[in-house]
Amino acid sequence: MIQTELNEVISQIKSPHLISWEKSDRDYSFVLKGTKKDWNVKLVFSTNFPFELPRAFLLNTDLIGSLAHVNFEGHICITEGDSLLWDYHRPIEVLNSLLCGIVDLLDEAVLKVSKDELTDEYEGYFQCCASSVNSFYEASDALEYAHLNISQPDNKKKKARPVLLNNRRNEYQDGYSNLNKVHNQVIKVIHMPLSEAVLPPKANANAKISASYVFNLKKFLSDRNKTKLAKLLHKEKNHTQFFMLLSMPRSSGERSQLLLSFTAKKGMPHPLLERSDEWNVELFLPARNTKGYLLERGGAENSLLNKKVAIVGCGSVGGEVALMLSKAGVGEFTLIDHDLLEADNIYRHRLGGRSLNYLPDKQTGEVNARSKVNALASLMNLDFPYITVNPKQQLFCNLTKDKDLLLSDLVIVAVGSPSLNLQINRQLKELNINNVIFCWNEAAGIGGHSVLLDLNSLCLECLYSDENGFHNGCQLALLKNGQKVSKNLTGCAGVFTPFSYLDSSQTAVMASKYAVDHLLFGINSKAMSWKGKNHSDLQVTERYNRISLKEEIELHREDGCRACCG
Amino acid sequence: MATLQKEFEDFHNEIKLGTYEENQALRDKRDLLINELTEKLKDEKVPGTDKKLTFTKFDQGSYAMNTGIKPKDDDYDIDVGIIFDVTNDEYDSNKLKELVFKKLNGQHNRTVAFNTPCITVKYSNGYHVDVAIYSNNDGDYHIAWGKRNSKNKQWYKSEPKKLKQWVADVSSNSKHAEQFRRCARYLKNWKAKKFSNDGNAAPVSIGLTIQARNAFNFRCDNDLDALINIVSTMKSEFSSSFDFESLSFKKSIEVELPVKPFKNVYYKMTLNQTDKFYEKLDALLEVLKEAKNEDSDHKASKLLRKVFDGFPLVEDSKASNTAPIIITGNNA
Repeated sequence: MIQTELNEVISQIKSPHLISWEKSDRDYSFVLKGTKKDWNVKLVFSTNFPFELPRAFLLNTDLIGSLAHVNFEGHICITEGDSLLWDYHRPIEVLNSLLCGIVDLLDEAVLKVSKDELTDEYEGYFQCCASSVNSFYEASDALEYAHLNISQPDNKKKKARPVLLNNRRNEYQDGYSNLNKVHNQVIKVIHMPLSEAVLPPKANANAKISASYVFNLKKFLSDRNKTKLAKLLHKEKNHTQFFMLLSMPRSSGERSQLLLSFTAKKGMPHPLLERSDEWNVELFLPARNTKGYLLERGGAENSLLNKKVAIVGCGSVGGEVALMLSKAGVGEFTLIDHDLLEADNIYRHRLGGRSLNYLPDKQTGEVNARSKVNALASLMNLDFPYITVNPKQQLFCNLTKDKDLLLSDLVIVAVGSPSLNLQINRQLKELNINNVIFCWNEAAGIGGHSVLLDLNSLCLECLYSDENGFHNGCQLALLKNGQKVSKNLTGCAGVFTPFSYLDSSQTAVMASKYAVDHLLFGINSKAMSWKGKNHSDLQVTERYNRISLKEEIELHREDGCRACCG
Repeated sequence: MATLQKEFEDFHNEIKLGTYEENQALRDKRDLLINELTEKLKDEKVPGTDKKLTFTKFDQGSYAMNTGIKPKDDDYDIDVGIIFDVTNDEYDSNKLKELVFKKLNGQHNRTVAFNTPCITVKYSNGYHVDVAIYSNNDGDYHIAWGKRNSKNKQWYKSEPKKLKQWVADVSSNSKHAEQFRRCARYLKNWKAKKFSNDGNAAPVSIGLTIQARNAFNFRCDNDLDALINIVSTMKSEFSSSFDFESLSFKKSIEVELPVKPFKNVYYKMTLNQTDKFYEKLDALLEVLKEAKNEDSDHKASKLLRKVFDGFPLVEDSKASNTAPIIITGNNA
């Protein structure tokens, strides 16, 4: 919107809160009537308005630092939500509504009860003026040393930069990301845990946080932590730079954290030892990599972390399920598959070219393919910091005494072959492993199935049985039996069933959702099928014609099932 | 001017936990322990006599007073009083408490703690039962007070039944009594939302009940007004005390138990803790008054949700499909 159009829009605002307004370039300042006081607010418009909302700033600068949802720069947090929908055809009404929202927010923020919200936002208050530092550190209420990995610039005049904050022991998975390549100097920094939340300092153009402000926070330490601090400070010598981690409780139970870097031109005592405003204080917000935080932030379930899932068959469906359940937050996997990863697989398997091996072995000169389970385990360890993967390059039938398999909370069978499915179904029953999901694709993108079973109640063979016993038509089938659906491009050695990565992904989504439903809520004995278009003009079952694109059914034991009743 | 009476009553129905008579689950948890204790004490004698050691139980605490609220995560706090048929002279208070402790200790699914006013049996599936032990001196009850190694371990004059009756006697008019009990429950919900469970940071529930009972004044179909009156009075009961550590004045409060031993119910709270109690009460009062003055029920309910966990949100009459800005929750 060009300037004259914007002026026209602003001049037509009729908010009941509006007392006056004035403009400066594309910034507009408003005086708005609140319940208890008048608010001075600036809206900053981009040229993309009304497709982009203006940013709002509080001009009552004396209140910055005492109001929730207003940060160090006075920015009012009201238009930041990703999920806002506004009618760009009605910019005047949008602005009216926005101004009302700002007044409501500020009127609420000024209430004493909102003080908790402000202290809860301690980190957010400084976000606009702080850098970030990766942190695996779990802040508790104990005063102690945290371990800080720092980078020392070649130019000695420049100060050290924080790289990674950690507890003494690294609790993340070995092999995660590129952490094994971080070899910087590690120093000990004091973690100062306040026993109660405090307000940020009043906004000050010269400093976000002063050393005096930090020094005064010592009174918010518990008696025990005050004693501990005195002991630690006793060992500190004069330096030109100190780091310190500050934390305080949030109402949700977590702790707000702020890493502070104090730098001075000459060596000075620790800033908690002697009050001095000669320190320049720089702020770093921990980018949390801790277990509980990462899972919740990423939409995963913390309670799945202690669950163990075994996946039998790590092809395109099983491999995808492994990755999906990792993302869902499952903490331990046993991957069972004897197969090797070949170039043939990469267009429909989750693993791609980076997991293939083209290099010859130095001793034998042979090019050895990697196993699917080891390649998947490497990928999962690289991608997730809190995961345990037990790869087993074996046939299922050789692992019936395997502890990892026997201790699993859930077994997912994704071998595809119906005969092998039925064999594994029987073996699982014999092993008394009862919580099982079978999942498989049908050929040519016609559909896929996921079957969640409690083998104490019914089994996979029930789907192939009626009161008269076994029949070779699965009750979920979408394609009629007896058709030639397999293909080969290179002769008998290259026979395969045609389906795509997208087909496998759809089946894997259903299986993964069932896995989570079962692990979290104990849901059982259901089957879900998805249906695709019949582009290959294959013969389909009555069920294919009857169901919609997705169907879920309840499952029951069949009296004629030989595995259950025989 | 909002009253939100319907929302208050709906809210009350959500948070209310009935009495033992109304709640089978509570009764079962209580009876399980009492029956076990009866069985385990059946061969015990009063020291130096052939007199059997017998007791009767009575319900005490918030569920007995009908002011209980549903606990978070099924962490029921069940209070039961055990009145032994012994006088103070017949049984040493600490020895009798130790006997009960030993009889209840050693089960795999729970832990037993020897606390100042009671024996606490904490079950692994969340809830705990506080067992207070009394002597009976011709209808004159004394509680076995003090921890094992406390200097102050003795039989302490106590009137638990009288306290229960005092709370029940708030009014002979059932509508008035019901409003009082609703207000007591609102205050407990506020306490659970706004105070930490650490140590004595939160005021004890019986203190809130006593203060509410002392200040209660019926307001017909207006719980909000009744609550504003209670909270205003509670706030006025604080006084200023000089804190030599911070060199500033802080708020303190003493509220007397209305029955013997008439001690200050907030005796465990430090000056810092009573000061925070005042600060939070002041913030509560401000919200209640703001809500009352609010023309929009939607905004009033939004305010009340800041102090009460689970207070119903009144739908915004202005929010519609034609609103120029709405929150959708969509994302990718």
